[in-house]
Parts: sequence; C-alpha cells; structure tokens
Amino acid sequence: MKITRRKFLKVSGLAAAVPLAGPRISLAFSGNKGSDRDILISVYQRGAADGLNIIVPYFDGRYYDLRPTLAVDPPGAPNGALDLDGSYGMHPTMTALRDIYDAGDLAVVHAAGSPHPSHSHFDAQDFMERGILEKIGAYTGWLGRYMELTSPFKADSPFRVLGMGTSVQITIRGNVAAIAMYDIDGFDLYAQEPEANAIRTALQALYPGDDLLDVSAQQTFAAVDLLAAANPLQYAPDNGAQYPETEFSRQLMQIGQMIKADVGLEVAAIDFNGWDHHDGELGILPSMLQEFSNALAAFNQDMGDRMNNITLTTTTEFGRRAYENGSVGTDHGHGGVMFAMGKNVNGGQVYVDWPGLQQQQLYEQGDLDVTTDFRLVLGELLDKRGGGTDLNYVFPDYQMPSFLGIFS
Amino acid sequence: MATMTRRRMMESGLAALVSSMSAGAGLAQGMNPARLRERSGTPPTARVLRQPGKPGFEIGHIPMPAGFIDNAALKLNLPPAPEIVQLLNRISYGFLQEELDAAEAMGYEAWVEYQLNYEDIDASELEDILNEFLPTLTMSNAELFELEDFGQAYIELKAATLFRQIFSPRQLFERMVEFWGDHFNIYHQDDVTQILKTSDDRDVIRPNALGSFRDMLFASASSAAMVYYLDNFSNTVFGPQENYGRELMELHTLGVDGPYTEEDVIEVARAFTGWTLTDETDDLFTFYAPFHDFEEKVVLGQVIPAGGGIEDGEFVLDLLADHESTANYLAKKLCIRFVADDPPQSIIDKIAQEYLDTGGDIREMMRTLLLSGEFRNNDALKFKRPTDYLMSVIRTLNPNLTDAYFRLIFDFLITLGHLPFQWPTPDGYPDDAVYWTSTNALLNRWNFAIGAADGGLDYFIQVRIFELMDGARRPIEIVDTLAERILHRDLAADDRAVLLEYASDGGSPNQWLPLAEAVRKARGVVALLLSSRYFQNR
Repeated sequence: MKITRRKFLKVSGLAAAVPLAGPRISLAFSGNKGSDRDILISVYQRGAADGLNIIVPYFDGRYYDLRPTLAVDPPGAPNGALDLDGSYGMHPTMTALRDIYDAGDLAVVHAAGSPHPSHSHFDAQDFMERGILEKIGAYTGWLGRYMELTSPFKADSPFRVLGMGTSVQITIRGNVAAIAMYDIDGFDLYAQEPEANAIRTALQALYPGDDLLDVSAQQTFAAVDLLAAANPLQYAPDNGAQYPETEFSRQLMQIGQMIKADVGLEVAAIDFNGWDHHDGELGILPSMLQEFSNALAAFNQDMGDRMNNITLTTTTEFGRRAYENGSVGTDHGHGGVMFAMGKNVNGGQVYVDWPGLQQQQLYEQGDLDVTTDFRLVLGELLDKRGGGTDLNYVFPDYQMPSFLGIFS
Repeated sequence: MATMTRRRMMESGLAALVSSMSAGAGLAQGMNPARLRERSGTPPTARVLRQPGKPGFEIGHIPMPAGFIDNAALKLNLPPAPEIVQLLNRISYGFLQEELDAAEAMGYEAWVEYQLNYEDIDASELEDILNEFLPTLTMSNAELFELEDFGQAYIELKAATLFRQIFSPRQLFERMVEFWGDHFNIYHQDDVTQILKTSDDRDVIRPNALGSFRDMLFASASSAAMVYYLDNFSNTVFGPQENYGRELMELHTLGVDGPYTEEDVIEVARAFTGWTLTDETDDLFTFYAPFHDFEEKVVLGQVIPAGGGIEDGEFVLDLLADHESTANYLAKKLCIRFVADDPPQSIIDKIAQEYLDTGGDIREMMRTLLLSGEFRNNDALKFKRPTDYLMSVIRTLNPNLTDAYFRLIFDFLITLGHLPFQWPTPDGYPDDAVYWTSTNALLNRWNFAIGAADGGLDYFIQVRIFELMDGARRPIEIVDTLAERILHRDLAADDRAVLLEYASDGGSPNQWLPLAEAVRKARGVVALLLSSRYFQNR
C-alpha cells in the first residue's frame, strides 16, 4: 500500500481553506494612476516545469554531476545551450525566445518560486495562484485582487478579466467578474436556423432588470456581441507572426486577438499544461519548450508595438529535483524559472541569486532552493506596470523587499 | 414495461461511460457547444427515460458561507410558484409532470413525509444496476488499493453520484447526500482520495445523510479519506498537525465564528494524535497509541485528563456535536441550501433548536425546515448550481437519452466547474448566486438548454416535443402549455409577451400554425423557458 510517500512531507495548514474573514476592500482604493497600466498576461506552466533544463546553469559543474543523462551541454557543444550571459544558457530549442532576450525584451528570473514547502501540484498551484503562503482570506487570486483595486480601461467591458479555459483560473478570481473562454470559436449563442436571431432577441428581453442575474446575462450578451463585432475568426496575425498549431498557442493568439479588438481586456490568464516530467523528459521537454518559445515569440511579433503596453509573465508551481531520477526524468522540486516579456521589461538579463547545487545548498537535500520569491517579481510587475497597487492587499502575508528592477 | 426501458437506458449509459472513460481518459475536455453540435451522422441508440412507477423526487440543495458572498443577492420580481412546485424545486433535482401530479395528489405535508422516510422508497433497481456496472462502489479500502487503476474508482463514484441524482426516486435523500458531501468535503484528486472517497461516500455520508449528525461526525473522523485529506494521519505526539483539528471546528462543527481559540485548535489536534492509517485493517483506519499524546488537554474549557487514548478524540467529537454553535452553524447552512442565500434568522433559530432538542437528528431538522412558514411562504430565490441546472433540464424534459448522453453530462459539469468532489479545499462547493454567476455560467447553460430543446444536441439527448406540446398549434397555446409544463407557474406579463411575440413571429398569437412551424416555435419556446430566470432558480 502506498499511503505514505509524499503525504508525510506536507506541513500543517496546507489544506485549510478559510471562508472570508473580514470585509472586502472597495473600489475606493483604486490605485490606477491613469494610462500607465499595461495589459497583464499571466502564463501558468502547470505541472512544474524543469527550470534547470530550461535555463541551464552551465557554469556550475554540479549541474552535470547531478544530471548525467539529462543535462544540457554548455554553449558551443553540439546541441548545447544558447548562451545568455556567460553563466546561463537557454535550452537549445528556444532560439525564438533567445532572440527576444537579445533584443532586451525578455528577462529570466532563476531560482524563483514560492518558499512554500509543498511538493503537491494542487497545493502549490493553489497557493501560488492565490499569491499567499497560508490559506487566508477569500478564495481569490493575486491578479483578481489586483483588479479589485483598479478602474476599467473601458467602462462596462465584459472582458476586463479573461481566463482562457473552461473555467476561470484562481489567479484571476476576485470581485471583478471574469470570463472563461476556452476558444473564441464557441463563445456564442448557438441555436438552429432559422430561429437563432429570434431566440437571441427574446432571450435578451427575458433578462430585463438590474438584478445580479439580469446583469450577468446582459454582460454575457455584451461579450458575445463584442466578439462577433471583432470578427475574431477572420484573424490574421500581424508582422508575419506564425503561431504553432497547438492549444496553448491558439489560446495565446486569441488573447492577442482580443487585445487588438480593443474590447477592454486588462488581465488574462492562460495555461500551458503538461510539465510534470517524471520520466522520458528527454523526449518530451524539447518539443514542449520549442512550442512554448515559438508561441511566446509569435505573440511578441504579432503584437508588435503594442508590447509597449503589454507585459507577459510566467509562473510554474515549483521546479524539479536537481538530480535526475532513474526514469530519465525529474521528480518534484522547489526553485524554478520565471519569464517576463514586453517592451517595459528590463530584459536581456538573468535575475538570479544562485543558491548553488552542492548537497548542503539544496533545499531539503534535493532541490534547487528558492532565492527569489515569486511575489517579489509579481509585486514589482503590479507596482511598475500595473499602475501601482496596494501590495499588502494583493499579497497579504508577504513583506515586499526591494524590487529587483525587472520592470521599468 | 416502463421499468424495463428505463433499466436498459441506464445500463447503456453506464456501459458507454465505462468503456469511454476508463482511467479517467479525456476528463480534461470541456464542452464546446459549436463542436458538440457538429456531431452528426446517426446518433447512438436512443432509449426512453420513463418516469418511475412510483412518485418520487427530491430536494434541492444549497450553498455555503463562502468567501464570495457579498449580499448582492437575487431579487428577481417573479410571480411566486405554487407551494408544492416550490417544494419540488427545492428538494429535487427537477421533476417530471407525473411526480408533480403525485405530489399534488398526496399533498404538501404527505410528500414531505414520503421523501423524508426515504428508506421506504424503493431504489433497489437503480442500486442493483450501479453495483453491477460499477464494481468499485462496494469495495473496501483495502480492496480499492489493489486496483490496477485508481481512476476506475474515481470515475465510478462520480458516475454513481450523478446517476443517483438523475434516476433515484429518493430525491431529497440524494440532495442531503450532496449537502453533507459538501459539508465534509474531500477533494477527489488528493492522491489516494481517488479511491478512499468511495468508502467515505458509502459509509460516512450516505448512511447518515438523513440520520444522526453525531454518527456522521464520528464516522468522518475515522474515515480514511478524511484522515488522509486533512492530514491527521501525520498528526503525532512527535509532530502535531493541526489541519484536521482546525477544520473539524471551523468547517465541520462550530463554524468559523465559533467560540474557539488558536489554543483550542492545538489542543484538539493533540487529542487526535494517533488517529492514523494502517494497512492492517480493511478500512485502513487505526488508532496507533505510540503516536498519541497522553498528556492532559483542555478543549473549550473542558479538561481531558491525562492518560486517555482514542477516547480523547471521541470526547472532543461529543463536545462539538453537543455544542450550541454547531447547532447554529449547521442550521444556517441547511437554511442557506434550502431556503435562501440570506435566510431569515427565525428559521435558523428554529432548526438549531430542533438540533439541540433531538441530539442532532437531521431528519427532524429537515422536517421542521420543510414544514416551516419561512420555507413555505418564501419568495427568495436560489440560483441553481450547475448540477441543479443540468439535472433539472433532463428531469423536466424527460427526453430520450442516447448511449452518449452521459458524456455530455460530464463535459457540461467539467465546463461549469461542478463535477462531484472536485472542489479542492475543505469548505466544499460554494452555495451562493454571486459565486456561480461570476464564472461565466449563463452562456453555457443557455447553450445547453437551446441545444437540448432545438435538436442541436440530438446526438446526446432528444426532446420529445410532441408530448410536451400536447397538441398546441397556436402561439398562445404553445406558450401557455409549455410554460405550465416546464415551469408549473405563472409568467410575469412582460415575459409572457416576449414569448408570445417570439412564437407569433409578427403574426397573431391566435393563428393556427402549420405543424412544422409550430414544432419549431415550440422548440424555441422550450429553449427560452429553460434559459429564463425562472428556470435558472429553484
């Protein structure tokens, strides 16, 4: 029987969600400083992406000791890492992102993540999306709470907060209503002809009031109309951008469509699933990284000058074990890698306080440690690119240290 | 023969489910209405869902005091539904015309009694089928651990839960099972809870859902799934683990506003040291004395003397079960589920008193609730949670269900975020309109309703439109007949006018429509009624 293994590692309080304790903060706190808020896109690499093979610390010989099979060779070697700064290199499949890094629009944060000790995907994702270490307060996300303190770009837009997927990610949950959209194609009212228009008209007339339900219905109609007017299915990316033909890429492209359609989008959450590589990592990781890299690069190219007002960041629940396992894979670890992309990112740099990979330097004897709290990165994002906000409200159990200067 | 047909329908749905979803494959797929409608070709065999031979259908359920409530509640001004319709809406997952007829014939109070005494309602046919097709339902925890694929237990329990909600004549009982499943929430994907939740549902929740709260509380405390989910298995004298102790008071008994302190949390955790898991027993639970803290504890001012063993925890459970705060907390949750998001204090007090008077008899609490003036004369609305909505569309339409329909149910609930046992945190699915309306629910509900009514989802469910129309050919007949048949209540004048205008298409509401047009308009009216505010609430 398999009861024991991981569960004993859990610490107290992990699963203790708590209903709302205390009043909500109202919109009166608005931290919007005007037009200096970027559209913020939060990418979640679900499954715990292997930061050590995405951004390779090729200067650290221990890396090669710990990963005799999995390690990526140093720059210069055949299929070696793409050098970033003389110490770190990108996985060789990520040439598209390396170009953006070289252009100064992509920053890397290494040994980043949550100090929370959980090795459970669910717990760690949950904590990270909520932006906390203890399950306190309402079931809302860090971006959702941030949005509670903002004023709309566009009054009455139903698309201020968008989650690409079948349900709204915790990251963006808050008291600003979020729309979940798995695919633009499908976000419509479907009825058989010739009744479709008449049903639509009648249905709208059946929700005439200002009650919660009426308002929710009217907002849904507004969203459907906005999308139809934007004619999203006729979309052609700009600047020759070519998105890979995958779910993540399509959803990222559709966020771009929404931005171009000017529907009032302020924050979006999007997931890239499948980073849990306990085995066969050599076969899977390269193609996923190539897709990840090409998708982000296509978005960057497609948006062009709009990247002056868009900032994209990535998170993953934790990194992977520093040493490889016996199945050509890696188990759950701790510190990982975050990316930030946009014209307002002080890119072309790896932001890192390297914790080392010597045995005594590893977190719980096995993992790359976390030296940069994910909330420090996201806090700076909201402060610099979110028009400022009440960081104590967004990250209630975190004392924000000095920013790293990732964003301008 | 009606029974036979229904049996075949259930069996084929289960067989298709089992073959298509073993190992939980494809669970991540959501529902894309456009794609679903593209399913063409010959639909799978359709079989008719016949109404059960006996009257039966149950209760509605309720929300929770979750973090999203900010009292922007529902205030729709709709003409009230008749009392018996309101009852059926609240205590069942939707109902067939025949069930309403039976309830009306029996009368309000008698129907309440009938549903409360669920043991006397025969559900053996359904249970036999479930046990035949879903073998993990009856396995012990030890047997479940031997499964090659834990996903089998995971899928089968979800399937059984949904099947019972649709097909069980013990509707109030199934509503209570859902209520207590939320109350003692266990996330189904916390490692081995995939298998252990099966016995928790079978041995903790179901036997006590209309029985004794104290028994349920005791059973839950030693349920392997709960011991695992809330980490008490690692709560030892060498390293106390407060998770269970905290949730036990905050969520299971006293409530978050209850009169306990952080010190009490620590003391309760100490009392439960040693309540852990083993592979020596069939249910995997054991009290392991070497892990127990034998020193004195003080819980809520009560001294638990040193030297006690498993009885320390039992003392705490009794103390909590007897507590007035527990009575108030449970009463409020029940009222939120069955009465309103913001129920009147008077009814909460009444139910709490019933709890104290009867030592936590849930059936007595529910009887008091369902017979109370606050419930019967209640014009507040409860927004249907996704499961409520889905089940009530199916049960109200009484459509032909194809072999594939169960897939649609799963996809819908995944999309709407309401599959059974998939709420990750111990507080259970929210039970308030604000939460459920803020997650983009309406568009998906509308598309489901429209597709069910106009033939777009014929691959899965096929509405029997002629039966619903009952010969109506004029717009006014179509609207009034279907409104009565589907809503069983009066429409507001404005809403009726909207439907008449739709059905008349610019012509007279009294014109005799050609059959094809009458059917088309009838399908549209069904879609609109199911999509309307009336049907979004229960």
